[in-house]
Amino acid sequence: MICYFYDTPTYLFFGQNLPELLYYSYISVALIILVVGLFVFINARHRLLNKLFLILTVSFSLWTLISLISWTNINSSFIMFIWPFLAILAALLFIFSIYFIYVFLNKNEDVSIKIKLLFLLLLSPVLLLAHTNLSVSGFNLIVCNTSFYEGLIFKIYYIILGYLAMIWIGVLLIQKYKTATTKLKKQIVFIGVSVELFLFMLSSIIFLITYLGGKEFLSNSNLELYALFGATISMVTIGVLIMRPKTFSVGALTINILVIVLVILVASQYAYAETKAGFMLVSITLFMTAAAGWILAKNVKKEIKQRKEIEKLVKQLKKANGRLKILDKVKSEFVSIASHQLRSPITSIRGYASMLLEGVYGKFPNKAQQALKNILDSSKYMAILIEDYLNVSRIEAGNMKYELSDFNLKDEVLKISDEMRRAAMEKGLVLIYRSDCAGTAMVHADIGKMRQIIMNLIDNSIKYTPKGTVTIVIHDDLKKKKIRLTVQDTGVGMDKEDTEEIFDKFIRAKNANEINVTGAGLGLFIAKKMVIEMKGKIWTESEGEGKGSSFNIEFPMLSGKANPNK
Amino acid sequence: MYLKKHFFVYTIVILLVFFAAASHFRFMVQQDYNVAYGGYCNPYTQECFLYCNDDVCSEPFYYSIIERQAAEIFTLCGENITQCDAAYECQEGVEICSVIFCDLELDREDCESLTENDFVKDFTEYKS
Repeated sequence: MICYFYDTPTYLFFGQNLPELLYYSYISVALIILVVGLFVFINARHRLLNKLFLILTVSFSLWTLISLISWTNINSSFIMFIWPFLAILAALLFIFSIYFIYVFLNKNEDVSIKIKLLFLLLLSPVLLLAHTNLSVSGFNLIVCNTSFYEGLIFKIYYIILGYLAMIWIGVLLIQKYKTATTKLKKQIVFIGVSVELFLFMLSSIIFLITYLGGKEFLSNSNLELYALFGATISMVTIGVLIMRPKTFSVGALTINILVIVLVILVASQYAYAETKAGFMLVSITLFMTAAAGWILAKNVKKEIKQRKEIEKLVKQLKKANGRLKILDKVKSEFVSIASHQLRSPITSIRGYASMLLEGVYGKFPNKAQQALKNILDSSKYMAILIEDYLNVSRIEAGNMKYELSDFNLKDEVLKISDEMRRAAMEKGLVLIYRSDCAGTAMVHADIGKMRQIIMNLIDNSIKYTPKGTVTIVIHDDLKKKKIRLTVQDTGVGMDKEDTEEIFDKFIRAKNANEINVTGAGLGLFIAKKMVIEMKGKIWTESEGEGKGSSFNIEFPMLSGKANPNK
Repeated sequence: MYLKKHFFVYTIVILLVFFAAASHFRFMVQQDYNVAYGGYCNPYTQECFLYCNDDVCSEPFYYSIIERQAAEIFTLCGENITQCDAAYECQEGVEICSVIFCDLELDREDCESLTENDFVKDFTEYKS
């Protein structure tokens, strides 16, 4: 029998006088779902979760196509034959959604025989009775459907099956969520929401929208299509989630969906293109949209991947940094303990060597005296080195104590210059002291540490200057209330790279070993730390290797009357 | 072991094949179902359902509803019943065949102002 009010369709469902949107929505949905299902399945065909997803997508795709055929075909026998398939496919979708969630939550483990039997028990009434009068008994040729002849009990049964699936899945997800890790929780939420939305949309198409429409609560005939698209988006989301659970991103998925929808919308314009020019225009727009969309989606995916890699690296870096800090602390403690242990014997060596040289234990021949002098010099150097190590340990442990007081920096510099002049003269160098202070030259700092810093700077200049002069200049800036000390030499100098790194721990200038093999590269590091702690500034300048260098320290100057002894 | 592992899917496939075969045999081969279609009705002598194409009902279409076995009508008329007079009357000896007219006393308003939607409503009520 054919429905005599309607035109005969071509290829089962291409009927005339039917809205084109119907075909675009149903056919595109069926194809997209099928492609996604196959793609996910091929990606890991032995994985149970992927197999179940394929069953879900094929069932939904078939359900969509059969819905379209039953709506557009006019052959009553054929519609009667395919109509019960809709109930069967819906029931399969409901039950396999539960099965899918079980396997997802059990990390791809299959469900027990008991649960499978329960699934079969729930499915069998639909499968066994779908072809009987309980399911459908007749056909109305005037409205061309079976709606007046559908068995109420049968329909209610499989609709309840849908709501049962939603509740069942909800309970499973909540139970697992409570004990899940943070990472799994995120996946549970995304998969859970997607599956529940899918089932809700499907149930809405089958029952809710039709029922509410019949009761005249709903008048929008497009609601069914929205639900169909919603179910499709949910299905695609599930596909992406089970394929890439680790790299899943809502942003990337949204962009992909947006691009697909845009391409479909542009492609749908072919239906309205009547001229060749119109056809060309749609083709160009489609090509440009697809190309731009592809580039956009690719870039978003790339950026998300990079961001995740950076996040991973930052985590690793934080972890490594934490371990390094612990190691550094352990090392500092070791150095501190070792240095303390070394200091006592060195003091003894220095004391006895000094006494031997002074003749307390009798006179020694000249050769022996030279040897004793070498012992004394080496032990002095060693004592300084140990003191440096101890200072570094104190600084790094935050245990360095500063006894701050007000004192005249110019006077201290003058004293130190006088003390160091002898060492300079022994090396054949001229040490010049010059003062250019208009203010008080008073500073608030630790006088002992300040002396240590200045002596270190002058000592360095003497060590690394083979010939020429070491000039010490102290001058102030009354406007800025600053006082600056510059130790300038005509020594080996250094390149720009060295001037930037010279204050780092264990760093020496590249040419330092050519003129002085001793030195651990700690003096300037300690000096810088001390200067900073006392609110000062330290830096070095050099025009290059062989052109000398100058070391500067600057401190805030205390206000007061001008120095009359300038 | 293999069957035990896959019994669920195989059982469903077997049931699906059974259903498809049974459904095909019943609906496509035997045509064992009822069909309902519009029959003749004279609004001056009979109580008719009214179908209107538009709101003002410029071209009223009066009809009764005939319900009978699909297989039987197919034997009589083939696929298309519109050119088959036998489709519009119940022959003698036919068990399932009924002609339904609109009941003016019960559904006076519905019978007088029928649209396509109203038809659906009436028919649903009739069936229930």
